[in-house]
This record gives sequence, structure tokens and C-alpha cells, in this order.
Amino acid sequence: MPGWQERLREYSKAKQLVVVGVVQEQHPERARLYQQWRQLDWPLAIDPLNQLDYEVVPVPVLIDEHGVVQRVGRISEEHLKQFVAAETAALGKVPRELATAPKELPAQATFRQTGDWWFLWGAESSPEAGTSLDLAVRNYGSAVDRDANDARALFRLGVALRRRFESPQRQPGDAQRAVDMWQKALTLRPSQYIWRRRIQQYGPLLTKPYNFYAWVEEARREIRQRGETPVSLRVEPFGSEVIGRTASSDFAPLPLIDPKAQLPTDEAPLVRVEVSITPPRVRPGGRARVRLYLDPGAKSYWNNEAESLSVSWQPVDGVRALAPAGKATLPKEAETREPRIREFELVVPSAAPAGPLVLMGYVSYAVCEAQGGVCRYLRQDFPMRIVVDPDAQEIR
Amino acid sequence: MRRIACFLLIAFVVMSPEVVRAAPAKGAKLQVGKEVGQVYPDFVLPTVDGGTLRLSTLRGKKVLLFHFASW
Repeated sequence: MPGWQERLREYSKAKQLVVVGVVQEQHPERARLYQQWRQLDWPLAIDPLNQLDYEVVPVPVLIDEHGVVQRVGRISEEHLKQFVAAETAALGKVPRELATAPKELPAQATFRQTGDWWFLWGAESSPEAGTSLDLAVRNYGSAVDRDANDARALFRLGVALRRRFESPQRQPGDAQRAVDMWQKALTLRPSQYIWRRRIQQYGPLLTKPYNFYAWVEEARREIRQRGETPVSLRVEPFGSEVIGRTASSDFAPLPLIDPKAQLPTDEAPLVRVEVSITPPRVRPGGRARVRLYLDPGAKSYWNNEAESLSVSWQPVDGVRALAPAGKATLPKEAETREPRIREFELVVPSAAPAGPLVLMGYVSYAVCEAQGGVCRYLRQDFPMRIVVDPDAQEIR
Repeated sequence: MRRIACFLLIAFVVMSPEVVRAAPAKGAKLQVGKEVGQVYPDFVLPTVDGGTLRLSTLRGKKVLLFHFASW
């Protein structure tokens, strides 16, 4: 163990120093798993909205008894030693509790502050007003309506939409709107790397700097080896979140499953398809990653004994649709109803004219109307809307 | 970014051993900000275990505030 880590423990034990962490993470359980894995024994706050407005991390900060910053950035053992040893004026008694959650909104709060409050502290609201996430989305939306260049409100609107998409209260289009807002925010503040990472998390594999959540499996393994039970995740990292930068040779063209559209269409539909494209604006020659969230809902079931779920598209000259090699494994049970995610990438030709580009994709699947009910092999088409923009922010 | 965050506080690389201790003159009004010599902005955030952290409740203690990412 490096010497400074030992020192930190010693200082904390001797009550000479309080160590507090603030983690940039939109999923609280993932932060808890990280804390458990790394055995962090100090309070760990979570800043999903990037309220502290750091553009890059890690950033350690030494703050004295008066709340004054004494050092920012790289800190050596010697820095710590001198910081802890320095005398300062005596102060009053320090409360034992770290704090309680704010019960009320600050007076004369702006729309953005109101959105923050609902997102972080709001309890479930009335059916008329919607949930706390609805209220966060609505208030951030009002902030953006007032000032379309309010980059922080745009980013936070994206976070709230993504959180709502991952909740039972999801509304159609939430996943795509989240990415749209993040890209607008990043265009206004290209130096914001924490925001950039949020887009890369769901974006094309070739533009990813590294595998963001490969540590999750490693953490679970090590935690189990210690005889503990890993914190369970509400939203499991998937696809682009757990795949690192991938060579272009690892992609294969998307297969053409039903080019003549002979399969019957899922008119009901028995499966709800939510499409999100990251990033939604690409430069000519650029890539976008398509993520499909397929939900059989409360009544339908996947038929796992028949042909598995397939993704395809209607080819357009010059555009390529590519998927990484490999096939998803299906559950062992004959009928299940879990939501499924499928991903592939679109490559826009270098000569593509600026403007909107609408492509059509489709999924084909074996689905049953109820458990033990009639099962059919159906097709559902979906539009994929991207904007070719030579000035689009590069997500690298 | 994650690689650095994985091994927490790896940013504590030995640099200059000098610590510049900001000592404002008596009666001088301190600015709020995140730079050396400024009063760090108070904030209140949820903790990962369901609690709440308000920085100002730590007044009177020396604090190492560590910002990092889990990804």
C-alpha cells in the first residue's frame, strides 16, 4: 500500500483529517458497488448532475477548518503532512451528522435549481403533477425554453430524461431526447469531458477512449472472493457501456433478414421498440450507434424456442450498417418477458450532403400473446433519424 | 479517466513538497470559489448509502475532498 494511503488512514483515525469523496456517476448503485469493491471507508457523495461543475476528474482538494481551499490537484504525502500539522484558529463544535436532505426548495429558485431539487430530493409526487422525475424534466425544460444556451440545464435535462427512461415511468422518446440534450450541451461546452463521457458511454465503439464499465465484473468477482455479496445494480451496464474501443475489422454488415417485407407486421404491437441514436448529429463519414430497447410489456412473452430476435435494415446507397460479431444468448426458459437491448452502428458516407437522413430498420422476433398463448414470428419497422452536419461536435 | 480513478488518490504524485497555505488578512472578505485561497462553495449532495452530505457541516475540520469518476 502506498505510503500516502496509510497516512490517510492514520490521519482519519486520529481525527486530524476528514476524507470525503464525490463521484461523477449517474447510477447510484454502480457508485455503491465501486465503493464496496475499493473498500472506501469514507463518506461518498454522488453528483449525477455535475452540480460541482468539474470538467475533468480526478481532482483532490484540501480544505481547511474555515472552508478555505489550501491546495488543488496533485497532493504529495508531504503536502498532507504539512496541511494536517498547520495550526488554525479554534472553531465551534462540529455537528455529528453530515446533513439531512433539504425538505424544501430554496426561495426564489430558478427553473434549473427547481429541476435539481426534484431530481435529487423530490419524493414521488401526485398523479396530477407527475413523478419527481417528470417535475425535474419539466423544470429543466422550462430553463432551456428561457435560454436555449443554458448548457448546464441541457445536460441535466439529459440526465433526468435518461433516469426516467430507466424507470417504470419511462415515456416514448426519453432515451433519444437525453442524448439530443447531451450533444447540444457539449456543443456549447466542448471542453466538458464529464459530459462528453456520458455520450461516449452509449456511442460508437470506435470513438470510445476505453471500456467504461469493465470493472463491474472484476469488482463482483473480487467481492465474492472476499465472502461478501456484491451490491446489486438496478440498471445493468450493457453493450457499448461494457465494450471497449473496437477495431473496424471486428464489425460485420447487418444481415438482411426480410428484404421483401414478407413477414407479418406486429400491429398491436406486442413488443414496444424504443430507438436511440448516439450521437444524433454526425459529420460526413462519421458513425452513430443505434440502441434498441425492446420491451414485451405486461402481457407478451418472448418465444425462446423459436427463432431468436434479429435486427436488420433497409439498405441505402453509401450508408453502412454494422454490428460487432457475436450472438446474444437466450434464457433457458421457453417463454420470458425481459426487456432486451440490441445495438449496431451506422456509418454515414463521406460525401453525404448536410441535412436530415432518415433510414428504416426493423426487428423480427418470435413473440407470444400471453404465457402459453398464440406465438407468432413478426416484424416491426422503426425509423432512424440522424442529421448529417459538417460542424457537428466530434465525440472523441 | 477510469484507470486513474480505479486506484483512488493516485493523483497524489509527489510533486513539489511546498504547501502554500493561503492566509487571508484579518477582516479581508474571502471569495467563494474552487481556487486556492477561496472558500469552497457549499454543496449538499446525496451519499451512495442513502444519506446526505453538506460540506459546511465539516467546518472546523480539515477536509480532503476527492472528486473522481467510477467509469
